This record gives sequence, C-alpha cells and structure tokens, in this order.
Amino acid sequence: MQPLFDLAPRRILVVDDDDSIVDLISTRLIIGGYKVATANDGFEALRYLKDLRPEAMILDINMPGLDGFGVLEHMRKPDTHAPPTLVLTARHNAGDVERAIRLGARDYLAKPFDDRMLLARVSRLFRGAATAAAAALPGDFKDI
Amino acid sequence: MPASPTAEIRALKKQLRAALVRADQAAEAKAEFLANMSHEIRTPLTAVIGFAGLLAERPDLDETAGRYVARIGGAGRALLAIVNDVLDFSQLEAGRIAIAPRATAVIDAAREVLDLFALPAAEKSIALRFEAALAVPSHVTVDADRLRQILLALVGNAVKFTTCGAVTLRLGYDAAAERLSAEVIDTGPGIAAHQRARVFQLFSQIDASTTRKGGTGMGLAISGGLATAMGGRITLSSRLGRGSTFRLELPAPPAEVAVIAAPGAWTDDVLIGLRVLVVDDNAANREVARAILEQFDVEVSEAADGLDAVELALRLPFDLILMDMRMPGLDGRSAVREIRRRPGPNQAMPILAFSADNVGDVPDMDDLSEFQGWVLKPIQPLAMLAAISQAVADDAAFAMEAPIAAAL
Repeated sequence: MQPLFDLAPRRILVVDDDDSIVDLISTRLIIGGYKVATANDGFEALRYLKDLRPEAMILDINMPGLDGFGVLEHMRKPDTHAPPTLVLTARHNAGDVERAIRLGARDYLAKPFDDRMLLARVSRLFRGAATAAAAALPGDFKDI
Repeated sequence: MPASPTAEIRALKKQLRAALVRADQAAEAKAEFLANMSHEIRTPLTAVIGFAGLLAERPDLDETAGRYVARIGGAGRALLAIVNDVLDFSQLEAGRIAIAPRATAVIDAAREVLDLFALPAAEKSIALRFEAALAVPSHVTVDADRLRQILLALVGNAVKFTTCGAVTLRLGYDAAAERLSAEVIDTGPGIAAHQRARVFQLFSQIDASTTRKGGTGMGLAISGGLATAMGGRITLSSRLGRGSTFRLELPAPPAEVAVIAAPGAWTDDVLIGLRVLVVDDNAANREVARAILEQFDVEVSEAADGLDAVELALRLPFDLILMDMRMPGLDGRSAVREIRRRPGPNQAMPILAFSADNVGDVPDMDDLSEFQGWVLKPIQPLAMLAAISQAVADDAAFAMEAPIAAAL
C-alpha cells in the first residue's frame, strides 16, 4: 500500500489493551511492509512516542488507565512527538470519533474492521508526510 | 374504614403507572446491556476471525490443518452473525436502527442472496428458483444492506425447513405505488394458523424439534422489525403440509444509475476505503454519485447544502469533497473558502467542483482556482472516478503543508 518511491519501511506504533488485537493489527501491518512497535496502555504509548518517534500511531480509545483521549491530549503539548494518529473506536459511537478528531487525531476506524480498510486508512496517514528518514531508525521495531 | 371506590381506583392507577415506568426502564436497561455485550463479544471475535484468515493464507498449511482453520473461521463468522442479530434486535427495540436508502441493483442483490444457498440446497436436493417480474426496475432506492439481511433470513429459513421440493424467490413491483415485493415460497411443512402470528416474535421457534435446526430464532423477528422500520411489512400465508409463502413489501422508488462498464480497472487502486463527502442540494445527484462510488468500496457521506457541508467538514475527516457550485444559502465557492479558512480535519484536503455550469468538456480553471479539479454534471462515471483518483493521488504525493492538528 506504500508508494513505490518510498523505500524505507514506515514505522508505526500500535496501542491497544487487548493483546490479540495488537497482535492481529501488527501482523497485518508487517505483512503490508511496515515496521511495528506495540504498547498496551496509554502511559506505555507516551513513553514509546518519545523514545521511538514512530511516523504514525494506531490508538485504541477505550483503555484502562490512560485512555486514547488522554494520549491525544498529551500529544498537544509543545515539544511532544505527535505523529498522524488513527483512532480505533466502537461501532455506533460517532461521539468518540468527533472528540478524537477535535483532539487532533487524523483518522478513525470502527471495530471490527476488515484488513483492506485497515491498510487503506493506514496508507492515507502518510499523506503529506516527507519521505522517511531511514538513517536515524531507532530499535524496537519488528521487521518481517 | 374501607377506602372509597374513587380513592381505590386512584391508588390502582398510581400503581399501574409506576409498574409501566419500571417496565420501560427494564426494557431500556436490557437494550443497553445487549448492545454492550455484543460489543464486548465482537472484539475477541475480530481476533478469532482475523487470525483464522491469516493462518489460512499460509502456504505451508497441510490439508487437514487447512480444513480446521476453515472451520474456525466459519464458526467465528457464524458467531459474529448471531452477535450482530442481538445488536440489531436491541437497536430495533430501542427504536435506534438507522435506515439508509440508496440506489440498488435489486435483481442482482436478490439473486446473490439466493446463490448463497446453492450448496445447502444441493445437499438436501431441493431446487432454488429465481423469478423477477418485467416491471421490476433495474435500480430502486432502498436500503440494500437491510433488504439483503431480510432476504437472507427468509430464504435461509425456507431452505432450513424444506426437506423436498423447491424454494422460490420471486420479485415483483407495483409501479403505481412504487413498492417492491419479494416472495419466498417454499414446499416445507407449513405453519398452522394459530402459530403464524408467533413466528415474528422473538425467540419463538415453533416447537422443540425445530429448535434443533439451529439459529437464534431472531431472524424473522428482526426481519419483521426491519421491514416496519423501512416503511414496509412482511406477511405470511401457509398451508400445513403444502408450504409457506413469506411476502416482503417495501417502498422502493425507481432510481436511475449509470452502470460502469469495467469495474475491475479501478478497484485495487486508490479508491478502496476512501472517505468522500458529496455535497449537492439535489438528492438525485448525491444518490447517483453514491451509487457509483460505493461500487468501488468508497465510503460516501452526504451534505444537502453549503452550511451542512462546512459543519460536517469541521467534525469528520474526509479524503476528498465533491462540492456542488450552485446551492441555496451558502454556495459551493463560499463553503470551500469557509472550510479552507477554519482549522479542521479537512482544511487542506482536495475539493472538486461538482458543476453543471459548463457546456463544453473543460470548465474555465481560472474560475475554479479554489478547487483541485472538477466533475461535470450529468455525471459520467468513468470521468468522475478518474478525477477523484487523480486528485487523491496528487494529494498523497504533493500534499499542501497541512496545519491540521497543530492549528487546533
């Protein structure tokens, strides 16, 4: 799904408290040619945003502890790494989507989603982004 | 001292009212509970179905393992269907179900439903027949997903309960009333008169022996509820030992849609999963655009005027906006300026002029400087798809510096 001229794999942080969902999304993304790091809650997500500087994030809204809204709010602070973010919401919840967008999320996807939709929306997250700086690639991203 | 009769009646009325309030609250709580439960069940099911799919794609899978994985995926999808039934029912009961009519190739849709049962029907040696009256228009305006859901339930039931003979799906159309009818006729055991009213009630399969056939018993209840929500109804006629006929009637005005010659050409392109906002004060134009775009898995939202469009564009992100030029109230050009001026998720997204102003092939681009392209009316499907694909591809490669999140 990535443009051909962009040779470096994009690095994506996947955040969900449900391990099976994290695993499912990461597997799909890795097969799709992305590099993936994962976090299970909002605090871990903030730590990885800072340390790994991913180029995009997939963020579950409903999480115990610091939820997706909390992460988005934190990302609005100055000097915080804030990559384009796609939020995962429950079906039938337009309110959550609008709130996440107001807080700066770039896109949304309702659970359950199908693979094609996931990959299509993720590829659109990189709209307008400059080509990846492959040189300064931090560790901890899984490759194929 | 005994209370006077009037005081007694007053007290009873009060009790009755209190009981009604409690019953309403209980129903509301139940709907809420069912909605929450189905969401909770759905999430792990997504993983079950998703991983089964991933596993099934592995080339090193041997035949037995492949069969097991197919079983897991199949059972997962069956369970998801049940959960969706529960959610639908709770939404119906709470009056919260959304009906979205749009141009639908109704004959194809009905035939596809019937085709899904080719295998189970062949296994039981029952024939499947499809009939469509000449009067049925090629496209009608109806909620295609809900129509499909009702037909699946009716045909599924007919196939399930018929042991020999045939199941017929017959489409008819009343042009004067603009109503579509779909009859599902089986040669099954039939339903006795005193049981006919019950089949549309929740959880009522006719007797213990039929429950063994599986299913939630919600299909007909949901179908009946959906038909009502769509402004139609389902009726049943039956003779014991002869078979049953379920007749669905729905309001379905004819719709005109251009059929695209070569759908294959665009599908794995930029169009899949795209979110497009179609703005036009003319509902027919919105419908035609939707009907074409949805064939390519584009997610379409609609706005009926400029103010609506601006309001929606400030709330939800789209990949592209198709903007009518002449609208009452806020016209297209002003709406675009407003979207560009105010920080929001679409401030820097491509907007195409959706215009009928030009007689020739190419409008005057000096006049369209705020736009990233144009689509002429009446819509030519291929030209529209090309314009949208082009604008989205240009945008992905050379997007304007987007002040999106930061500007909020």
